[in-house]
Amino acid sequence: MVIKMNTVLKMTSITKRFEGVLANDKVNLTVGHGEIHGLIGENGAGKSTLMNILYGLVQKDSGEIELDGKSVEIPDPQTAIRCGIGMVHQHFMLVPGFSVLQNIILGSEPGRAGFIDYGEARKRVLEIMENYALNLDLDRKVMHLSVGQMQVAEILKLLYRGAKIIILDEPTAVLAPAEIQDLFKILERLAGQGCSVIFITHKLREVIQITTNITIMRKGVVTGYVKTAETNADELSTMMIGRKMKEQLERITISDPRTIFEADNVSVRDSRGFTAVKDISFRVKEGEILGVAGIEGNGQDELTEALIGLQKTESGSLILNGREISGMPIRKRRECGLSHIPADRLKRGVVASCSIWENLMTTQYYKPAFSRMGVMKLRKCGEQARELIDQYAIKVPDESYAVSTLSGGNMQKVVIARELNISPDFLIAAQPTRGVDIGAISFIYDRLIEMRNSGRAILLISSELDEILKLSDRIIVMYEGEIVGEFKNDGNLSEIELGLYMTGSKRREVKEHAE
Amino acid sequence: MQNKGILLRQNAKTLFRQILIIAVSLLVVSIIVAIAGFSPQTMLSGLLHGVTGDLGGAVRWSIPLIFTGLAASVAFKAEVFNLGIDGQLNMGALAGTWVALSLSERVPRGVGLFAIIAAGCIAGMLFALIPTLLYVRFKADLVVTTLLLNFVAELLTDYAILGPLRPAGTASQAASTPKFAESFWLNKLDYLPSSNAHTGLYIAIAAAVIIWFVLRKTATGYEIKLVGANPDTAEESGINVKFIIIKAMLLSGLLAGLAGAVEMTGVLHQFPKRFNDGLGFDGIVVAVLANNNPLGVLLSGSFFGALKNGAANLQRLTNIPRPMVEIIQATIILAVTVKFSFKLRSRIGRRIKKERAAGKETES
Repeated sequence: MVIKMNTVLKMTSITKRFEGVLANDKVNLTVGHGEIHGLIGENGAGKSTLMNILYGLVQKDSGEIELDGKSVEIPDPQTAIRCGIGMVHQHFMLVPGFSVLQNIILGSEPGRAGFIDYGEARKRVLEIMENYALNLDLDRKVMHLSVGQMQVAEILKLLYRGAKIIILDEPTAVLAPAEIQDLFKILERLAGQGCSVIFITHKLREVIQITTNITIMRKGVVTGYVKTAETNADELSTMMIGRKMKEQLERITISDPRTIFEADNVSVRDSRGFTAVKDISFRVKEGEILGVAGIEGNGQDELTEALIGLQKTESGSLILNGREISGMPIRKRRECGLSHIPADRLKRGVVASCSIWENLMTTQYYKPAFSRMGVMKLRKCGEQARELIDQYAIKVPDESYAVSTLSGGNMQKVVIARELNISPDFLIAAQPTRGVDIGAISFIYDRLIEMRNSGRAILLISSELDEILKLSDRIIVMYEGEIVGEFKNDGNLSEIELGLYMTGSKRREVKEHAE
Repeated sequence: MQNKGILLRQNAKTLFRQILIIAVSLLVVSIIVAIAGFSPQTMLSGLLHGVTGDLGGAVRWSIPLIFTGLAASVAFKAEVFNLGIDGQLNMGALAGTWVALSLSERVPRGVGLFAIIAAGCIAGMLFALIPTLLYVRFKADLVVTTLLLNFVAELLTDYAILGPLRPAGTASQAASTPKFAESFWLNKLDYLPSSNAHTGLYIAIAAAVIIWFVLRKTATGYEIKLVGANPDTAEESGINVKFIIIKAMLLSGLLAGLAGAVEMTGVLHQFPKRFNDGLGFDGIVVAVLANNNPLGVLLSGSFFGALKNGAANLQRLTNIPRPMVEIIQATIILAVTVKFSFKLRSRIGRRIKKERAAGKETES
């Protein structure tokens, strides 16, 4: 075991059992003074449980936590904060209507007799900011901050409370590539000042770039502890998923492809009445995956909803297989060959409390194969469900189990089985691998490429640039509801370059690059 | 299917749980009764007498409660809150009575009964359609509109009794419509003599079986379930959510109207002013106790029917006053809706397990 510098945190033999499932099985974690420590693993590997134990949100069944060599018990987050442990959650815990300063001091305001001494607070916060060379306008309301700035505010909040160990739970998931680099600079400065950082992620490239040591978890146990300098992505992923990553499927080029879907000058308003999609045009052809890159909230959701029919288009036309679909109800559009993997699986993808077969049937049940005169052919439905479970390798005992009992990956497979099995001509795949484990990701990628190879058109909307670059034939970038760039994905695109378009610092006329 | 065993076990578990809830609430009630200075034993035997001594009375009250329980179940399945069952029931009863009074006595009995009951169903449906359309079109909150329309229905029936359906010869103070022709009355059940139990029981059982079939086996039932459990996914899949909500509410209103019409032809044979003392709200409790399972409604509806009858008997046979009787009913309703016993039990169980685990560790 590698022990370097002075150990700040030592978690020994942590065990936690949830309803019979071992979430943590004798897990050890050692973090040094001023170290950036990577904690990686797939969803459900037990990373979050371990961190929740450290932060006092969950109580361990057994094991020991040592801080600076002293054994401690952490029954609640208040104690954790007092011990110098702070956590930035995936979803920020900030009050949007408050200023940055108010948010930072919230819960430990200086002052007396119920009055807050803002002068004192500002002085203290500015001191910290200077110390760590952080930059943020303290008087801005949080709701006007960018996501990256909110993250800085969260980190400041922890430093203000005297955190020495900072846990970051998937901090890069919401950031653009340039913002990620900014965050890494901040983390390095924190480490330089003696803070320890625990960096939770499943993105191998990032963990290799920023950390000194890495602890790898799989299925509740630690499967590796390595020095970052002595490892590589292959080795890490093998430890993470327990086997080698599969090679991607071969891509077939279709000659003289016809256009399957065409959007012309489409504008869409969001639920508040603002124009969220501005005059967008694009085409998707047979055998093509068109990637839509962009930071979330730049009109992708509204575009998707308009395409599937959940929202009206303000203007413009949507043409699928030569038919105008913009006035059609959802079922009609689906019957024209449209299919959709929704971004928010639990909200729009599945009916969690219903069984797997019921979820697999939601787009099919009314067809003659599955019901006659309004009475459902339950046996047929069961057969079909079992077939799909088999074909899409959904891990369940049988089709009558509630979808809520499945893991994220298996749940997504249910959605994908339902949406792909009808062999649609045009698939809108929004965040198809969000919250899905690596094994299921490669399975999903294979299915998408298979579909592409069979001459179907796919619109891939994803905030993961990796995914866009890996799968797309062509890429458009959306920024503030507009298409600000279009690229052939010929292997020469750099992520940083795309990132500049995504954050609006660069744009070019799309027309000149269209074919 | 391969999972019959599991399903059966689940159902048995649910049933056991409901019975336990009832037992616990009876215990609580006994304590309250004892504190109030009455004998819990008298109360329990009085309640029991409602079933053993007067089975007919229990059946008589079970019939409307099964209908309203079904009405509530259907709406709840779609996650829409039909709190207007009482109003729809009143409208159904009024429509049924009106048809019965307008029919000539020469109309064949079967035709007449069918017309009366159909009128009740249609009236209930139409009255449920009003709040539903307001909801679908303007997003008017169903809880509020259905609830308030109950008062509208009540006042409409008041008006009908004082106006168009006033018995001939009475002045403005009519307390009821005239009685309608005896040939349009449902038969009494011969095997439950000297009670008001009537053949409406068979209609109730048939309704429960039909609703079970609709919810379990038909595309409509499947749609209602999906829309109730996650309307967003249902919409995304191409299901017309608004249409399904209308369907569910209409079905719910139909059952409520049916309850009213059967109450008229089965027991009352006229529309007495304000005859309905909350059968609709009782129906909600019936549905909750049955977990919205239509066949379960047969059981829970019968239970509440017996309870209602028992409570009435209690007042007659013992010195326990009416407010006390109401407390008894309310306690049971509360217990049913809260379902507290199980959370408590599992929490205690977990603590015991935890302590055992901790004990083991210190040993080793």
